[in-house]
Amino acid sequence: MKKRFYISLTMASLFLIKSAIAEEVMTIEITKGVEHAIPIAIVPFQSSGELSENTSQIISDDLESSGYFKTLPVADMPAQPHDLSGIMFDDWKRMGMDNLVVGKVENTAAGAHAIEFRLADVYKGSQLTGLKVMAKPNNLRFVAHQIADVIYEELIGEPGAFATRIAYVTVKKIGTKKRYQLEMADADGSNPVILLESSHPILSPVWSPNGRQVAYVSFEKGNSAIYVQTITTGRRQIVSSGQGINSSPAWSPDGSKLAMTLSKDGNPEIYIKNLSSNQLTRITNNSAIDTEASFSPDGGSLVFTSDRGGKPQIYQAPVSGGKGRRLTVGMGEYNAGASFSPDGKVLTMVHRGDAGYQIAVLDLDYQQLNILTDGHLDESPSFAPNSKMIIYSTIQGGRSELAAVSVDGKIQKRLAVHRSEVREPAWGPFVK
Amino acid sequence: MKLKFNGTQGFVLAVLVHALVIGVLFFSIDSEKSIKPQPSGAEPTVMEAVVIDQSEIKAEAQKIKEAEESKQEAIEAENKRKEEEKKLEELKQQQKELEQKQEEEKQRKEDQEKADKEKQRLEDQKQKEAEQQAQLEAAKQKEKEEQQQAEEEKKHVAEELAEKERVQKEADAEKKRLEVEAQKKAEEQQKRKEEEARKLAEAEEKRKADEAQKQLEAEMATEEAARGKEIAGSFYGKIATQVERNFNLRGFEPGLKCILEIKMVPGGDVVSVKVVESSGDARFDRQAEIAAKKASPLPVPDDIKIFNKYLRTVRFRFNPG
Repeated sequence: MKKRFYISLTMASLFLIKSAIAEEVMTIEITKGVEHAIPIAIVPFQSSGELSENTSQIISDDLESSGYFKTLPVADMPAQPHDLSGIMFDDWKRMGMDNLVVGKVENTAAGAHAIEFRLADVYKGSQLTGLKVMAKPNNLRFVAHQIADVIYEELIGEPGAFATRIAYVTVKKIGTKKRYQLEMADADGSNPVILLESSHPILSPVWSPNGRQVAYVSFEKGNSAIYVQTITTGRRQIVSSGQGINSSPAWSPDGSKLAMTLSKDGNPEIYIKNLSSNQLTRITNNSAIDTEASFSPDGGSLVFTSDRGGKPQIYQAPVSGGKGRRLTVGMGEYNAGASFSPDGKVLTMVHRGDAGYQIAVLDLDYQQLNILTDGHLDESPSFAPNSKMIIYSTIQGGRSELAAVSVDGKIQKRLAVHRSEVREPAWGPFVK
Repeated sequence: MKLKFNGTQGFVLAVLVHALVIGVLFFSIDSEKSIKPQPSGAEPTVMEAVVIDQSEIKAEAQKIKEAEESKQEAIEAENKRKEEEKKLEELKQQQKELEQKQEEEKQRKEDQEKADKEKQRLEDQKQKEAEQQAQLEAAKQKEKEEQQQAEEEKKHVAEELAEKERVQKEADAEKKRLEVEAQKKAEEQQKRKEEEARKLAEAEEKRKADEAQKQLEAEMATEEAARGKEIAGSFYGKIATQVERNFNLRGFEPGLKCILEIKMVPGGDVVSVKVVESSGDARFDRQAEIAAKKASPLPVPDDIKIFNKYLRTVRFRFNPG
């Protein structure tokens, strides 16, 4: 990204060269640009009746929250057209808008909603994309996120992750007791749904690749145990509850296996458990602590945290076993809790620097560690399925809450504020 | 003087001569008694006296005898003589006159002789002198001849010399002429060469000047073009800057590039944008188009010529790296 900001000193000479070649049509070199949020106006959708959700506002908020878009406040809009023929493009150009979304929501006889929208190119005066989406009243919000994803993908070129879900753990103090809840919500933090309640700690929720299950650690039985819970049914299954530690579950990309940390053999080591055969394979074997495994997107290797070198660092080892090789070399004294971005390009992890524990990404190609956040106790980073954002927990006002940061660190945002303490976030996959 | 003798005159003359002789006789005695030197008008020379011989004296004595015989006759003729005296006187006078005349004649003769002698002498002398002269002359002549010859020879030699000299001179002259000619030729050639060189130099100079002029004109044209280009170039930079300010790269990975062709109207308003080379990513192409349109009106020169030539249609190569 930085490259494009380098001012080309050869620009002038390029003009000369070009002029010598083609006198009649000069070619002017545009060697850089700006990185502004993309201006877009989401005109309130016309609706035939009262709706439970303000869809156009949800879309607008989604886009705005991504950091990629600058949305136009409704109050500033020169008009509120609902279809292409009603758009006076010059008016929107004057407002500096490159993109315009118009639409309408119609109520069907069956009580459903038909949402019709068009994304228009203001400078061309034409439609970039247009869809008609059916929605039930209870998922109107999610459909709005999906529309935001369509717009996002059209304009950014990669899938949006608005219509995805997150899981996290809340901790409420009730008297002297603490109440732990495993919750699920839309990616924007709305529509929270409680998956599990417990008076014992719940840790490390992770989404199955298909998004239908969640694995987590619960101490509800006194000792730690790894559970897999099916979201729609709420059915739970203990995957590991051996002696000692049972922690840090991680799904294989195909969802058939679960990596985990077990100390049943005395020392925390990494194992892989085949969920259908229950076969357990030990991956690491040494006197140090090996934990927090995460599968590579191809499923061929694991990254994990180990203090075998004295300090916690990130190592990588093939799923077939082996000593593993250290990935975080010369990158500080503490790197832990790594996981791959879904595109496999980077690892996100907790890095301890001078200011404390912060979220960092390690670019595997460039072997460069970039620190993205500036908290003092930022933890539990988890990639959005489009690899653009990382959700994590951070301490704000003495209380843990959720935040998200773009992979380039440019966008920072807080998620919908809970009254309670929120931690251990996990970003779910694309909803199929 | 030449005397002519006829009858009477002869006689008279004879008498006169006798008388004269007597007279001479008398005179001779007288003269012996009192010799008085008579002016002769000419100096008698010693040599003359010597030469008179005895016969002549005998003749003289005869003559005196005859004179004595005549003396009788003279007494007889006393009367006559008186008369004749008169006559004689007259004669005497006449005689005197005659004598005078004779004397004069003698003198004359002597003078003549003398003169003749002198003349002869003179002639001789003259002759001699002439001879001498001739000799001298001859010598002179000879000398002259010799001299002449010598001179001639000299002259000849001189002539030869002169000829030689002349020839030499001619040769020299010819040589000189040739030299001069050659010199002249050389000079002419040199001059011609110089002239040619000068002309060549002039032509070269002119050519150079023309070339310089041409070059100047070309340079001016080039300069004009360059100026136009430079002006245009300065606007390219401004245009690029303005486009870049509107080229939103948010959400793009590096490595994309595309080329647009845009058309402007004077004032810089972008009236058309066309993708001539796609990046392969429609979004990138679109963002480039938006940049070009959003940047409108672009900064363009007021000079319509420059605008038309360099800016009415331009291409943008979007290559942010």
